[in-house]
Formats: sequence, structure tokens, C-alpha cells
Amino acid sequence: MASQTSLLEVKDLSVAFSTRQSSVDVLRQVCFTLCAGEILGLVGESGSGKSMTSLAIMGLIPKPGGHIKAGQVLYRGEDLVGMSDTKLRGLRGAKLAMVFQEPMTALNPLHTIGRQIVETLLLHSSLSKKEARNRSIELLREVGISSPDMRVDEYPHQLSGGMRQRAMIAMALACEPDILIADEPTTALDVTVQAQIFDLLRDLQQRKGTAILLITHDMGVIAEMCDRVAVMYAGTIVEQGLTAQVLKQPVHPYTQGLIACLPESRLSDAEPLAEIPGVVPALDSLGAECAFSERCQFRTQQCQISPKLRSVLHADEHVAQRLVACHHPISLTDSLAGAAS
Amino acid sequence: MKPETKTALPSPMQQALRMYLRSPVAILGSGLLLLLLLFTFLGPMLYQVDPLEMVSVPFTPPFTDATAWLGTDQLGRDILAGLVNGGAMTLAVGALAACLSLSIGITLGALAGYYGKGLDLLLMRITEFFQVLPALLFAMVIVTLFAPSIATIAIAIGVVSWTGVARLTRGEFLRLKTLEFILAERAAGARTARLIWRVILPNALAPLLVSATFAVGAAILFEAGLSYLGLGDPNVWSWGRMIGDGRQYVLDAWWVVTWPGLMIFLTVLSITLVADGLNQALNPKLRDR
Repeated sequence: MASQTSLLEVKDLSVAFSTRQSSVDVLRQVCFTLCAGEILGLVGESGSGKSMTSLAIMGLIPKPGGHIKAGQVLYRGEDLVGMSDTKLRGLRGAKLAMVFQEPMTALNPLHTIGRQIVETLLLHSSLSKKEARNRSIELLREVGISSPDMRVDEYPHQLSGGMRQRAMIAMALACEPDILIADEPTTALDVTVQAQIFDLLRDLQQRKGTAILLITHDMGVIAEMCDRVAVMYAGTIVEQGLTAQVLKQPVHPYTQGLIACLPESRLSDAEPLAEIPGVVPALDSLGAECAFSERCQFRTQQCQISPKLRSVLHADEHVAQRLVACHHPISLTDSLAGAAS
Repeated sequence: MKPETKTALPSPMQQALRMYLRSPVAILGSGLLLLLLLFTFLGPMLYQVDPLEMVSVPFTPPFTDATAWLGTDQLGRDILAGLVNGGAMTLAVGALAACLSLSIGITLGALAGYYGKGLDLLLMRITEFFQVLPALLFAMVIVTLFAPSIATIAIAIGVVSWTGVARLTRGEFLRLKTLEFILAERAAGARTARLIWRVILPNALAPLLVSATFAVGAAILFEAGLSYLGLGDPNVWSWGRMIGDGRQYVLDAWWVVTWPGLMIFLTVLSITLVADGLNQALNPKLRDR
């Protein structure tokens, strides 16, 4: 288990997109912490704000329109939200690095992968060009690219998807960042390649102690990879805790619904797949009520007011914090019963 | 081209060069352009006749007098000598004006496309202002206000012809800045200046290169037009000026205007063919034709 010093603390982060006429909150009071050396999974449906969270941390919210309304992103105690551009640029790439979803479009088609890694290195270190080149060959070897001294001079279009993603990871790791944000790093790849990339990420995390924020929509990936998991729904985090515990005993009705949807959670193959009734509400139609209340079977009068993320105590939990944003969290016994029914 | 050592894979630019060399149109255009450049820059050394000197009877028709093979003009000056010496001015003004219009166009287009919003609005209104100005008239005003010289003529042409480049650059920037590798560069800590000039601009270069080549052709025509109207540099010999001077005699002595006209035609044609070849080589959609 990873050490408990928190590296990145996201506190009540709210992001809005506004046009002249209206403003839509895409993130509402997102809170989580990333500890040194751990893998935190951020899971949710498309449009739930996973990618926006990662962009907000990096200070890369799409402009014009997007802005951070409130909240803090503390990196080693320093707030990234109000930080000057120059200072933030120094952190990006050096301390906070990112791997994108589409390895096909996330590399500059005009430059060799070697040159792109070299340039990242030169931006943040005082290496000479020669040293940077040697380092980039070394990095390519580390991420498992065969004959890296040849590959270093190849262009992105000459590499396969998996290779490109490895090159992206090499680039992200170039300056040995503390935090690696991986935004659906395998969504565009074959299943077999997916497994290789995850092995690589976990291997790197264990060897270098890099904390990883892994964004995915795949519960299977979460179960496989993450120490802790945060579940997002309609721009906010609804449940957070140790992966094994969240998956075994979901406390939030939405998490429970998500897990019930997995084909593996059926008792037999003949049983139809479970689903959560209704659809994700449009972000611009959300009021003060709990975003999940429309689809929730436990809804009451109380749910007119959106619940805050709070700690729930489990009988067997002393170490890890379990957080949930619900007025009617499923208790431990209910949870087990719910998963079985 | 470079020899195939190890398993060297071609860079995008090398591939484009290969495509370019495979196109007959491009070969023809570059060959013609090369000949014209040799004619203009080696010609004066090989054919040392003063273009302002009277060498024979005025209005000697071509191919009749061994001292002036292409005939003489109204003052008995050798037309071949004129052609040999008039090219440098035409090409220099063409190149200078194209450089200027590209610098203005790319800078403004890049800033408008990258920053968007208010700056984009402002710069595009300025562009539209220059677009609706009658270009030739405006250039004439500039040249008349300042004494005509290579520099002022090039500036005048450059200032009136950058709008197309600016719009093209802006469009490319609008397209490219949304791509993920731009975001990836920012995530790696790249500065804005680096993003604009080192990352986005090189990716927009293919259509700009084509448009630059066309711009040279257009600038040459423009210079010829200004000289024809008597607004050229009076101290420098040029093809446009030869046509301008000879235009009154076109019915009696066709050759006085025809030879320089042919030179301008061939120059612009060769440049257009080169541009076409570049377009085919650099535009992946046209490549497979």
C-alpha cells in the first residue's frame, strides 16, 4: 500500500462553461486527494466530467468559455488555480504529466518521436542535446519499445497504435513527474495492447513511485489497476474509497447500479443485463437537487438538496476513508443484499 | 535524394519531395524557372550589351539584323539586351513583395487564429478593409507618394496582397489548435510563442508554401502592371517598363512589347506550375491522382 502523504489535493473544484447567454457547471465541487505513489481511478460515464477534471488540474481548460469558478488544486500544498502561467508551465511536463486518449492525434506528425521527447527534456532540464537524445533512447527502452535506437528517429505515422501510446508515456515520463494523469490511455487500443499498456503503467508506478490518476469508464480496469477509486456522476464525485471495498460494498446507489450493470455480476448468463433506469440529466438542467435523484430508488424529500461528500464509517474500516455523497447511503448489509438480488 | 542507408524511413518532407519529382508538371515548371533564372542572372555576363545604348536603326524587326537578333525598339536599343537586364528587377520585386505579404499575412493570421475572440475580430476587420481596397489603385498611391524604387514598389505590392495569406493562415490555425497534440504540447509545458511558431505553423506550412509560390507570380504581374503605367523605378530596367514604353508602337512594331510580354508570361507560368506541383505533393488528397 502506498504511503499516505497527499501529493495532490483537489478541493471543491467547480468548473463552468459560459456563453453570453448562459453558464453550465460541468464540475461541481469535486474533491479528492492523490497520495504519493498510489493509483487513483476516476470512473464515470462519458460527460461525467472525468476529462474536465484532469484538464482543470493541468490548467488546460478549453478557452474561450471554460473557467474555474471555485475551489483549489493543491500540489504539495501550493494552489495551482491562481498560479502564474510561467510557474504553472514549469510544473507541467516536469512534475505533472499527462497521457492522452488518442495516440494517433496526440503526437506531432511532423517530428520524430525522439525529437518530441528531446524537446520536452530540453524545456525542463539543462541537459545538452546529445544527453537528451541518449536519455530519450533510454526512455523508449524503458517503456518497452524494441530497438529504441532505431525507433527514436521514426515518425508517429510509422508506429502502431500501441507503440505510439508507449512513446507518449515515454514523453510524459521524460522529466520523472510526481503525478501522471492518464486520460483513458487505452480506449483507442486493442484489448491485448491494453493489457500491455496497463502492465507498463503499473510497472513504472512501482519502480518510480509515480502517482497515477487513471481516468477510465471501465470498472474492470479499475478493479485491476487502482488502489483507490472515485466515482463521478454528472460533474461531481459521488463515492470514493479503497477499490476492493467500493467494488464489494458500494454505498452510493449509483455505484451500486454501475456494478450491477457489469455482465459478471449476473448469477447466470441467461439473466438479462441490469441497467439503471433513466438517463444522465443534462448538465444545464440541474438545480439544487441531487443529480442522481431522478433515477434513484431511494429518493426522498431530502434529496431536493444536493448532498455533500461525507465520510461513512464501516465496521471494518479504520484506515481508509470512505466518502459518499448521498442522504441515504446503502448500509453495509443492504449493500450486500443489493448486490446479490 | 539521400541514399537509403540502414532502413531510413522518409520524413514527411522527403515524401513530399519524392511526390514532387514524380509530377511532370512540376518538373516542367521547375526546369523553366531554372532556365529563366540562369537567363536573368548569367545573361548580363554573357551578353554584354548596354540596354540603353542605341545599336541599330529604330524599329528593326526581329531576325533581320545580326547586331540585334530580337529587333530594336523606338530608340534603336537592342531588345535582347533589354530582356537580359530587365529580369532581375522583375524577379527581385516579385520575391521581395511575396516575402513581405507572407510575413504580414502569416503573422496576423496566426495571431487571429490562435488567440481568437477580440483580437481575431479586430484583425479580420482590418483584413477585410484591405481586401475591399482596389489593390492596384492603392499600390499606385503608395508608389506615387514615395519615390518609386525596388523597395517602395515591393512594399506597395506586399501591403496590398497579404489578405489571402492571412485568411488561409487563420483557417489553418483554427483547425490545428483544437488537435490533441497541441494540447499535449501544452501539457508538456510549452510556451505560447513556441506553440504558435514551432508547433502549429510548421503543420500549416503545406498550403502556405503553395500560396507563397502563387504570391510570387502575382507580385511579378503586379510589378509589370505598375511599370506599364509608368510607375516603375525610372533608374532600373524592367520587363514591365519595356512594355510600358513600347505600348504606343504596338501596331507598327509588335516585337517591342511581345518579347518582354512573353518573358513575363513564361515566368508566371513556370511559377504557377511549380505551385501546382507543390500543391499536389503536399496535399494528401491530391496525391493519389
